[in-house]
Amino acid sequence: MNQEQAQRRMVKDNYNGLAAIIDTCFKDCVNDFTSKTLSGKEETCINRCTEKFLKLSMRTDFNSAAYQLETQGASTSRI
Amino acid sequence: MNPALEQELASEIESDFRRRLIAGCHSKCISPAYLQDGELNKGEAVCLDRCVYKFMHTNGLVQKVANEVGSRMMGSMGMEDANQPQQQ
Repeated sequence: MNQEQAQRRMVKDNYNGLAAIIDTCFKDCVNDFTSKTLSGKEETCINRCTEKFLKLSMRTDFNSAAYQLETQGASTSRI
Repeated sequence: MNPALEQELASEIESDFRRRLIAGCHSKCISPAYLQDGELNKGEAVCLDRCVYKFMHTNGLVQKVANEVGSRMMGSMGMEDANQPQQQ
């Protein structure tokens, strides 16, 4: 991968990461369409949802790495 | 990153954002039970207007929280300056 491709990959990964959080937390937290602004309850929910999602994401990466380590030498194909 | 690439990326991202916004608000505002005709009824229209705003607010809030969590983690690893803009 050349440098441009790598940069592009990084920007897209960043965007996709945020998109996953936004879509999930919007789906789970925002249900009141009597107004166009977020209610306090919705804001709190989004705050918590975002923090949890980020921690989940980190823990998942950690577990993936741990699994790779444990199965070192075995096939790493994800098919 | 060269400007042409940046622009291409920016427009890809804009397209994708629009797609997610539409999908998100369709899910929140259009119920299959109301598919009696092809027009948006008043309730659906109002819901869609508010939904777009709420999605935008959510977009901003998530980015803000994600940045704060990121900064907090960088701080605890002694990397407070990692997020500072690089000197060009």
